[in-house]
Amino acid sequence: MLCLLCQQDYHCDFSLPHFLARQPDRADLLCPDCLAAFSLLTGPVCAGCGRSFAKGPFCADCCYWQRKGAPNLQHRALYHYNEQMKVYMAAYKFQGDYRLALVFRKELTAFVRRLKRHYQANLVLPIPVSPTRYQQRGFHQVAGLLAPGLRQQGLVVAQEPLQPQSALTRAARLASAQPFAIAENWQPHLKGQRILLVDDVYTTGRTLQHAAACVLAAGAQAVFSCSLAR
Amino acid sequence: MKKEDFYGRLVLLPKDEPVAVGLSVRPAFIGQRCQRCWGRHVAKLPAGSHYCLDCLLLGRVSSQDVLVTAPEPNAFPPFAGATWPQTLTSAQLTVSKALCQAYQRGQGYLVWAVTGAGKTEMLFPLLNQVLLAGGRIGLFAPRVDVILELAPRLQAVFDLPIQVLHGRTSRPYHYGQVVLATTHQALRFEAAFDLVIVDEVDAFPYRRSAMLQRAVARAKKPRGVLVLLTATPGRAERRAIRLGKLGYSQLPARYHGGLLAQIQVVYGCDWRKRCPRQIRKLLRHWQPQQGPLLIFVPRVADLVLVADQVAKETAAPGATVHASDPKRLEKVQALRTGQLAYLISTTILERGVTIPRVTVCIMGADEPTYNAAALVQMAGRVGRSAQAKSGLVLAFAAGPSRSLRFARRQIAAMNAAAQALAED
Repeated sequence: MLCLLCQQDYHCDFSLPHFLARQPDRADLLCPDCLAAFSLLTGPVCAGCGRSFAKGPFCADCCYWQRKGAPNLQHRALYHYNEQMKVYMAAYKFQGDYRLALVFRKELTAFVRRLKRHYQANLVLPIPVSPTRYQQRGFHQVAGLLAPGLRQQGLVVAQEPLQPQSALTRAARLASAQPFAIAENWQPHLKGQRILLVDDVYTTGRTLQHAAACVLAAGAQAVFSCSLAR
Repeated sequence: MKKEDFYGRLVLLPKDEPVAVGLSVRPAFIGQRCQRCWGRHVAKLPAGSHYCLDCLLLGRVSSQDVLVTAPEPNAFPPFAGATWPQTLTSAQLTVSKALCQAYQRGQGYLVWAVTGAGKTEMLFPLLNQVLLAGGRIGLFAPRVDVILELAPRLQAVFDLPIQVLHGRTSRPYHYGQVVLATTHQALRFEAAFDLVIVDEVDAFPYRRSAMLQRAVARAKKPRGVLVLLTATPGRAERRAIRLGKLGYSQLPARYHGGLLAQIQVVYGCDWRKRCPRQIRKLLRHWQPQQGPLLIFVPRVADLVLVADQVAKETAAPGATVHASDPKRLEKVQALRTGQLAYLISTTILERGVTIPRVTVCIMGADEPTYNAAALVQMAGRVGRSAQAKSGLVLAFAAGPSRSLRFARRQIAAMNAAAQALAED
């Protein structure tokens, strides 16, 4: 088997379950070395954005958001956004190898469901992708990381961004305008609800704060967020 | 993108992107067949399209894309000609002339050159001839290391921009008369080159890949000439020569006139259990003047195994190295300078490295990891410099094997041919 990330040939188990047409599991896609290079986010975290943080309840970035009057999303993430996660995202999002979605789908789905119970949320909304990007990429990178039941398209991209977030510097990302809007006929489903937003990576929090503002303006009671990586 | 970036190139673009006049556009997929690499292994996308898994490393080709190209017009500034120190041996000159004549005739050619024969220098007259005529040259080699080693040597002689292309480069493509690239990069070209040279056709991955061989043929202009360089010709090549499809020359001697070292086989040795006595003898009281030891092992797991055993027998400094080792180049250099007495390696070092006065040990020489070509290449690491024209090659095997027999026969044949040449 060739590892999808490092292309090394590695030995994998051809046990009976493999032939019973079950979904490939991460050991069928990545070699043990690549799998081991991901880093689970554990230990004390910032109560606002979920980054590793032990020096108090909120990190400096979250204090900035609070000063701006932004809601506390109580963001939580599964993995550190380390070198290996960057390699994974590059291969998944930018190179466009959709097979890589299966590496984290089960784990992220379970994580999102746990958080949904914990925050007593009624609805899970993935951060949307614009129709142009969807055509180009051929898939929705956040929805691909979730089970089909969690892919509600309540949030849509209203204004086509001129450049992807990834091409912007931190300062530019923080200054970008609200790109999101509520999907047609969705407003009644959001009123008074507790929403859990899901994204692939939390870098500055700008994207999630835009999404939260949009959802709250539509009448949601509370918003929380989570992501695969932080 | 400039129009010249399309000359002889297969550029991948999304279907809806507007394309300039004069460029030919075709779908990247016909059904399930990728038009860039002819592969049919695809993965589906939720939007309804699918993408090719066989050439994914070169960038994703999806059924929503198109391949855009333009014919190669050879729009190059005139080339002033190159000069190089005329140090070719008479054997090299003979082959060199044969190559130039084959090119004039439009005939494909194979050069069987032993490792260390000075193939690169031998190509200069041919390259010069083609460039003076305004022709475009594509020189392909199997590994990045080989490309990076060749680039400065070519650049020093040919004063024009040489496009170096490989998977690890981030530099953008520019239209140029000379392209030096890894064989996979050939998939990006179509009818681009008047001369295509493929070095080390006996090496992985080109040898076993019908796709790469087809890609190289496509990259060449239909009336262009293909030159193949190899140290161990295989059945397909020999048949092509017999049928007259390929011209052929041998370069059996090394540039310094020395013969290839024959492989000395030691049978019945359980080298995974303990260090063989020959190695013990070489390393026990090692002095830098003796020259270093290069020990090949068949599997990555064997590196640590052998390293531990050898460390028990000697205090001399040593290290292990493998393909993804970030310090690979430094360790090879340390072996050259005498800082390391021995280096235990996987087959990654079988080609391209020159370490003066080295002794080679091949552990498990009868194992299937090594084919005859690999064994000949490993043995070819000794005697590459004028100070030490030959050396010792020890192969440790549990029993006889076909590849070992083959390799020894090839070495003997080349040496006989070299001696016959010397007697003329």
